[in-house]
Amino acid sequence: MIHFILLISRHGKIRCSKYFSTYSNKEREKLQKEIKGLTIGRNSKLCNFLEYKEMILVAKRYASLYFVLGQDKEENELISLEVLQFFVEILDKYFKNVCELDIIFNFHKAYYLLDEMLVAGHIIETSKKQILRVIANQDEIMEDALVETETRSS
Amino acid sequence: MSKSATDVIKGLRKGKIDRTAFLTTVYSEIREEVKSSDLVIKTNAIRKLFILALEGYDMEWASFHILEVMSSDKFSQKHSGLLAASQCFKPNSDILFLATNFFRRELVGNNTIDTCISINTLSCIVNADMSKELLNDCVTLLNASKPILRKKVCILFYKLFLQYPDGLIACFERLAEKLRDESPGVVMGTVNTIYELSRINPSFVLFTAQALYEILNTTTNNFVIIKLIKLFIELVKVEPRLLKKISIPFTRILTSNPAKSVEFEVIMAICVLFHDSDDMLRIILQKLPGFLDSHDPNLKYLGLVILHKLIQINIEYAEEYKIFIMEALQSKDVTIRLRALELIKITTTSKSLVETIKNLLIEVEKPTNAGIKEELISSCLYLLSFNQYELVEDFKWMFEVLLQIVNFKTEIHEAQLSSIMLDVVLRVEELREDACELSLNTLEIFDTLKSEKCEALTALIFIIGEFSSYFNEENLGRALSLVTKPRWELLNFHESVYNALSSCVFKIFIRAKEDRIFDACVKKLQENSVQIEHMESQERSLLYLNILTTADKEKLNFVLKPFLPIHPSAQNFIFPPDALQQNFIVNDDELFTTKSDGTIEYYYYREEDFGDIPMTDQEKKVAKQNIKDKQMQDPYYIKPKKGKKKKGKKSKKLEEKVEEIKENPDIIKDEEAKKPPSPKKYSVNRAEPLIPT
Repeated sequence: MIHFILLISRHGKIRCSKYFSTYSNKEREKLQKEIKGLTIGRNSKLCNFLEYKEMILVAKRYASLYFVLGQDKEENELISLEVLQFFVEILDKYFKNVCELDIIFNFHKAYYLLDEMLVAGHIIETSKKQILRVIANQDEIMEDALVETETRSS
Repeated sequence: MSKSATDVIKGLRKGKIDRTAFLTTVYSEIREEVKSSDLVIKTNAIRKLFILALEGYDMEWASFHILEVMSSDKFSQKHSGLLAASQCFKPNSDILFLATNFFRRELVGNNTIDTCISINTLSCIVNADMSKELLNDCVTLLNASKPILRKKVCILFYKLFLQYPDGLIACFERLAEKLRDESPGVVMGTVNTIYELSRINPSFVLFTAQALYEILNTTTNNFVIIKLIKLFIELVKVEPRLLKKISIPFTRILTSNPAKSVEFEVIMAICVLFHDSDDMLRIILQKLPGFLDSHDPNLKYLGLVILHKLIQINIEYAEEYKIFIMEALQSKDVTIRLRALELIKITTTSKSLVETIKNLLIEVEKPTNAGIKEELISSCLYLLSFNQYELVEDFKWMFEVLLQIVNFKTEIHEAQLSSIMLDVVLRVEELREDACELSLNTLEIFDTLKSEKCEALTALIFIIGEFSSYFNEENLGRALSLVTKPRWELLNFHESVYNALSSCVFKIFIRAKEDRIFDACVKKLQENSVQIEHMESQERSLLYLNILTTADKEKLNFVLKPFLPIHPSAQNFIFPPDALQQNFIVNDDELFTTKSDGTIEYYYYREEDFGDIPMTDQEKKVAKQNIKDKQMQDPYYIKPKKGKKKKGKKSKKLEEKVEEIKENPDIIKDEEAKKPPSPKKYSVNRAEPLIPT
């Protein structure tokens, strides 16, 4: 299974962190620090897989963001790379040419998208259309609520 | 006007502002706002807190507030609350006691979207208690009309079963039915859960094999195919007959599926399951260059992984692919180098050992390999000591290599290194002379060999001491002057080094037996016994000093005979002397005292204690009876219980006693008066000689 996904900026800021296994706050901090050291600045000509403790890290840089995923040793590395690619593509479709700024200001949307894609560390939906439809639905409801509060307050 | 989450983000991105001050201000604002009863303000505060959590601030103190926001009717607030919860609640959080009801309401509620987002969060935070409570509601959801709900709940079951395995037995069949669900997402979720369960207990999920086989033949989703391949590997472990059945779909997938990920997965599966099938292996060997020759470093890495498995099946492949392995070791990519190292470990033969070790040691010295230095050295040690040194042909060369590694000064390997050195010198007689000389050379620069535990140094000192008989005149002199240098004390080594030095000095004299050496040794030991800080070392020096200076020189001959190593079980053939028999009484005071009138009074009664004391049977009987009487009266003696006491039933005696005391409180005073004086505490006289003179 996938243990966590981290989106790290070029300067080492964590833009998004999702944990599917239990890690205490201290463990998370340590993990994030170590992984920052391992992945940032890594030459993109090298392979995307890194051995880290009992896990394998799958890290790929997209523009200014490093997408890092921690998986069990038994998992298929190429498929995890696919998962990252899929995530980026969904973000791209949703935000229309996504860039790091979108994720900075709309991090919650990134989490919601991730939730539709991965649950309990496993991928459960492989159709971009489906996921985007669900999120659009959620957005609509939120919009309605917003309009409602505005009309109420005015 | 309170800041919105976006304001906080913008604020953090402003270049000139002091981040820490800004964050602290926001944090204190949040602490105030979160207490508000207005859910809008509360939610806003939680959203801002989430941003701060990404900066490293703690969110757990707001757990209760998060729960309140989660329970809101408004979707946006609920969503934000659930997001915060999934990030900061942990399975061992206390808040989860309160959250269970909330989740139950969500799971049975009519609103699909609410239920979905609740399941998302639940999968991150569920613990054993919650699993137990919510299991039944989840089972109901398996039959929900919306496929998205069914899909999510199927994968949620994995987490539920992890936390609450007892629930597995009740619900698993219902879950397995979902394998035939019409929606592919539901099937995927179910397959995932079943795969994870099969890793823990494959026989339990075996009955789903038929359905899984059908899915394997029909699905086009690569994610599912890969999971199924992994699943079948687990299932074959408990049902070997499946092997024949799956060979057909596996071969089909291997030849037709274009995706490299699937190809890799099925190749690995075949290596594990079908390693005797020549046809399958032939196809794999055809596919292998597609990985190894690829420009894509990921595929290269995977190619090496496949190669590893292949070589484990049949060592002959190693020869063909040797070039790849050597190339990989020189690769710029650390991961690939590590894989290459693993391969080297399994492909080295006794012929190629020298060359391999030479290459590895060259690699260790390269600065680019600083990160994997430890792995390189472990590989060297592994190869040298593999299967009791099976690969080594020239032990002198091996010892030189070991000394070279000592100079690399890796602390992690010191223990292993020193044990290999000692082991090989002790076992290989022919090596001893050379080993002594080489150790002596290395020890000349002992200043540089200091480390935390100094195991390597200790080992070298031991070698030159133990085998000093192999030294010629000149070297013996060298050795002696080396170990008697005053510099040893100054450098403050680990205790074991000084212990080894004292023993070494002693042994050198024993081997040499010359007078001038004797004086030097005695002088050194005298110094050691005073100057070195460690108690143990001082004591040893004194011990050796005493032996050298006080004992009859003739008696020293018994020390001259070398001790040979013996097998651990040989100890059993040596019977302990009489004095160490079981009924050896260390201190008579524990058992009895001799009263003023000459009679012996016993405190404890043990059959074996009477072994050494000369008594007639009659006396024994009387003594035992005395002891038993004393025990009955002794309030501190715990009497052995006859028969099992039933649980839960208080002893009637105790109840009666309590009643008695309630009626007549004076009983307690009487009881106290009746108690005999407490038994004498035995004294231990440690200065008493063990063997009485």
